[in-house]
Amino acid sequence: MSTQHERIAIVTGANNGIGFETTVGMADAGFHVIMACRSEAKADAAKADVIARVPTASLDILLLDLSDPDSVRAFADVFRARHGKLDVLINNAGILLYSAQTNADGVELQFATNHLGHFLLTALLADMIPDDPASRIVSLSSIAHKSARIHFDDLTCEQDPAAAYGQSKLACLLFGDELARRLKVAGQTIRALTVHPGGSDSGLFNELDPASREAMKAQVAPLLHSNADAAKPSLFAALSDRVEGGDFYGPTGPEEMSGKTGAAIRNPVSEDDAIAKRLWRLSEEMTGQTFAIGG
Amino acid sequence: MSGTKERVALVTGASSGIGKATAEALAKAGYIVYPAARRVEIMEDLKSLGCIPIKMDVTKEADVKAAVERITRDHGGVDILVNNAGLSVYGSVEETDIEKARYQFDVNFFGVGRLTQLILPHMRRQRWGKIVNVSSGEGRVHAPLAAWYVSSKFALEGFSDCLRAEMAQFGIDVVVIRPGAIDTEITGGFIEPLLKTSGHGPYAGTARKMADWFRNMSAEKGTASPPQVIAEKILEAIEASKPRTRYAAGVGVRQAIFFRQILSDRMFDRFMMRMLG
Repeated sequence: MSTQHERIAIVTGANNGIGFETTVGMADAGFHVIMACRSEAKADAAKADVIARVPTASLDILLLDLSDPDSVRAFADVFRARHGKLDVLINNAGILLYSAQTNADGVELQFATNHLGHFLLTALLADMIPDDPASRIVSLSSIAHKSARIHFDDLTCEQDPAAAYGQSKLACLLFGDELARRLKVAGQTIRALTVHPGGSDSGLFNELDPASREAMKAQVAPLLHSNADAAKPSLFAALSDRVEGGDFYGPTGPEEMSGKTGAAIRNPVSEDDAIAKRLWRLSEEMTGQTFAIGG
Repeated sequence: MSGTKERVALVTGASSGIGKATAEALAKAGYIVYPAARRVEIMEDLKSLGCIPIKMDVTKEADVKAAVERITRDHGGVDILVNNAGLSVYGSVEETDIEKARYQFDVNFFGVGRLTQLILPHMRRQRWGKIVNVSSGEGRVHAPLAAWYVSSKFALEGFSDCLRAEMAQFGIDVVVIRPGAIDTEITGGFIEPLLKTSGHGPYAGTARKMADWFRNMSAEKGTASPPQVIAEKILEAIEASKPRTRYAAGVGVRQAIFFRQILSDRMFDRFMMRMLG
């Protein structure tokens, strides 16, 4: 049970990969962590694994399917009923697909899950986040954002399905940036920032047959870093007092695949805030959710 | 043109693999299909689907002309051209016989270019046509010991982009197909020439790894897709009112293109060398 003084964090996609390691780190830092996961069974197993690593961990599982707006709204309702505030929101969950798929509303599934679901979740919970510099909203982008653009005329990426993942991860960065700008305009001290994990194998080879998947994972493993290292930028963004709203962090080693956490290289698209503002309006339209700050 | 007329498709390299599967798929979908290949005798079975097999070596001017003339005489012209005929010359840049390298371009590139020239006037006049160029994942993604093949496919990709832009005003669509690992007889046929060219000299280490990679490709193991997967994409592209400019299908190709897209040149080189084992 959480107490009034306890600091509360939500980590989406907490049951595996980077999200799992982020949960470990946040629990170790003394947060009560809400593990927002799709599968109860997987979350239960992950919770036990976190406790094995951090025996003092205070954890709760709350089911969340980011691709389904109803699930996001239900999650927010339950969270609000149980908790008086939210200190850190880590919008970590992400899917990587190689095939064209859409959610029930016909929205490209990676855009729906990685971006829109988090946009809606953040919009629904923003008023529960205390106006304090230690409050954080962390978005997760990816190296793949660098070669991407937002296909406003073809958001489903009908013409180029391979572009959809990068688009969704660019959207995460643009959302983090725009959120930081709006918080600033509203005079709030909450810090919204974005990170990317570098080279991590979580999901890279999904959709391959099991034999090829395992073979490729084993072969490229030396070029990637561990999930614990991949979670470091997220934990830095959530916990360090040396970060500012709108910052973008990631590993600073060769090609940003691994290495010490520091300032990450941006897609120049993100320097044009008109694109971020257009994406924000579009996200409001698509989720049917006005996102007002300080209102 | 009349909407009731059946469309006429010419599919090159149709005696096996992707070409044969495409001829079958188009015939079943109701098109008048001319499967073309050098080995006309092994396309007999396609006749049962209503196909009209035609002998053609895409590098032979007389063959190509005669085929287009015959189709024009019998059915007015080619409405849909599937440029599938191709071969893959693997081996180091240094050790590959230059005549083989030229022949690679004659088939994969000039063969496509010449046939396209011959069928365009009909398509342009009727203001309708589909040209489907079967490239490869290696039309986007490079690999060691594949320079002559990869460059022929990169050339085909550039050619297709130019042609698409050039023909849009005439209602002619140009689509590129990028197959990944496909289980065809060509795939097995890569191995011996690769090892013959580069299996014993300074490139032997990489050559043997590549040979193992090809050997491991099979639809049964799930490490390659059956050619029907590509035939379905080609049919989808032909029947789409607004097709994509490129379709990728088959084991591994989307992953390879994804990595190529997000990694730097050198980091991708390292990934690829790691993947070869």
